[in-house]
Amino acid sequence: MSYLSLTSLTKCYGPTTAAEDITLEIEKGEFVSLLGPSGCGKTTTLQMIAGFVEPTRGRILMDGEDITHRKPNERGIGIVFQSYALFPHMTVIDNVRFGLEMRRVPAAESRQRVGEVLELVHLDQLKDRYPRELSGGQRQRVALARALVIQPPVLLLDEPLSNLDAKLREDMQIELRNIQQQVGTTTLMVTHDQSEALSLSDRVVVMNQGRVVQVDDPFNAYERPSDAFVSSFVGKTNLLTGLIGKTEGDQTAIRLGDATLELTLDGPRTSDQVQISIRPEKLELTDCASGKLKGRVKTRLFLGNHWLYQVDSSAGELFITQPNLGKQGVAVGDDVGVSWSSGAIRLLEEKVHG
Amino acid sequence: MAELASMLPTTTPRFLPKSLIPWLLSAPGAIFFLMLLGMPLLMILVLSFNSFDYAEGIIATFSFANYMEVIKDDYFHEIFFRTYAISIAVVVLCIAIGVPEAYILSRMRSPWRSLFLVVTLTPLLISVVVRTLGWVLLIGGNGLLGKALEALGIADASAGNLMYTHTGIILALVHVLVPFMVISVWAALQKLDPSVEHAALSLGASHPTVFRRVVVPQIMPGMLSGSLIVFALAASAFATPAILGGRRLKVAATAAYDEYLNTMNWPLGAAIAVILLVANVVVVMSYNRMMERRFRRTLG
Repeated sequence: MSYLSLTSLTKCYGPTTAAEDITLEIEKGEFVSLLGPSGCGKTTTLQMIAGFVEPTRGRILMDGEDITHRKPNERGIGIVFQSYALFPHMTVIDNVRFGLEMRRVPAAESRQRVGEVLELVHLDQLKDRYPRELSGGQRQRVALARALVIQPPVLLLDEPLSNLDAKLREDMQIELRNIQQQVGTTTLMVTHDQSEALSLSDRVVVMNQGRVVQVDDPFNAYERPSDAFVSSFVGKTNLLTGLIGKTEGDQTAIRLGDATLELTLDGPRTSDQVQISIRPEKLELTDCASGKLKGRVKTRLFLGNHWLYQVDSSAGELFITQPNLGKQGVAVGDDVGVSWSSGAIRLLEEKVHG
Repeated sequence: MAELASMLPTTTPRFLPKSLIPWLLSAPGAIFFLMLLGMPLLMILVLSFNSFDYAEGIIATFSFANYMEVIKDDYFHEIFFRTYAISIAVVVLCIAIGVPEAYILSRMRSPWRSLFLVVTLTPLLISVVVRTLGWVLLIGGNGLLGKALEALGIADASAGNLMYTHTGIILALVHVLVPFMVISVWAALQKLDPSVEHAALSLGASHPTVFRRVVVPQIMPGMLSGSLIVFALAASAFATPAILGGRRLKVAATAAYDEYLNTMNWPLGAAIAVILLVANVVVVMSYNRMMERRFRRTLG
């Protein structure tokens, strides 16, 4: 029995469906991310779990209890809002204490719990400041402390890091992950940032247009995307179209530009084309003769730790990243070969239309 | 930097120092303001130091006699006390009515919200005299209120006669001044982050607790500035107390008017007006200072 379970959760606003048939099982102590572009229904799903949005259909079970129609202030769920939503007229310590006050926790215990959680987020020095006297990262920590101090059964994070600058975001990612593992709270995070979702979560739920597209651990979501949307949204990818040729045994010949691949098709195909996904970092630039595909470098960007090339090849335009090994790479206009190891190719399942 | 700056074409004529330009640009407005508000005020101030004789009229002297008369006389004490008692009562009632009203308005859905906001502002669209005479029809000696009370058997018709009572004046002033409170509180409410209320709910607070502990403290600056406007307007109100309070319940503004136009003692009227102005300015300024000090750290 999972700890938090969503069954066919659906929310319609008039004729538009914000979230459709969301079914998800989350284990106790798990860190799960809802990942998707804006308008994919991830925030609506979060709001339904929090109780701010009434589901049109479906059920929410928390620890075996049906909380679908319970009021938000009776669910006891901890929430970190995107805007942090701190109480501007209260000091840090009063913000954190608010939830305990509402629960009528005795003063001595309250003092101890607030002290502990402030230490956990490294804010014990700033407890008498007001929110507007804090930096973005510090406000973020207050919001986290305020949500954690009530020892919630479930912690919801709504785009928690999106208002921070890049450097701080990375630091907070590590810290957030550490705190979650220390406290062990079942956590559901909503984000549109794939790197955030991959780095923090035990499992990633990829959503698109109100539906769950794929539920997987971060490695599998990246390496084995179920369709073209997942492969392009979770990380960057090259989507190519191959023509199906002759089949010999279990190997099918697939023509990709001037290259021919021998691959195993996972099932019968109705069209004579397949979609292929290759990650930019799995492509390799070689000299003209030894590559599987021929191409010419169109643009080149230096990104510090790696180079990003845009190559015109016979199979179409390819993005290729190469690690910066301290040497100048090939230049714009050079003829190059493009190569890859056999495991790098991912055949995408056929979209069932209709 | 200096080199770069000197290369820019100098757009200001050389005979005009740069610091003069803002003054010159604001001069038309400032002169207009000084002529139309500053001059009459100054003349009233000068007038208040003159003395008055029933036989000779205004005598151009310089003395504090008028001020001493107002400060010493119980008659004027009562008038000023009444003025501020009414103003404070009006402020309290405007907070009690205006704050929930603004909160409910801000929670309304799209077409209703703007509709009811306009409805709230309608008292301001009607001339003060017409509106007050409307109140006379309602609460006058033979008014609707008395008739309704009698018809319902609650009380005698005379109980509905609120003419020349504090209740009547306060009622009519609250009616016209509530919109100012609603607008100030409304502006403060617009700045609230709705997820802050959600955060409080998620931490286990009930709706009344959220309102008391989270919403009210955040709209406090709006409530306080609304109170300032309402207080200043109530303390200097003329038409409403004049019509509903008449000679029996004088406030500072109507007392000054009577000195001018009935007793013809202009210097004494001027002294009353100046005292009212100074008292209002002092109240408003000290209130503002107190407020700023209190909210600078928390709400900016």
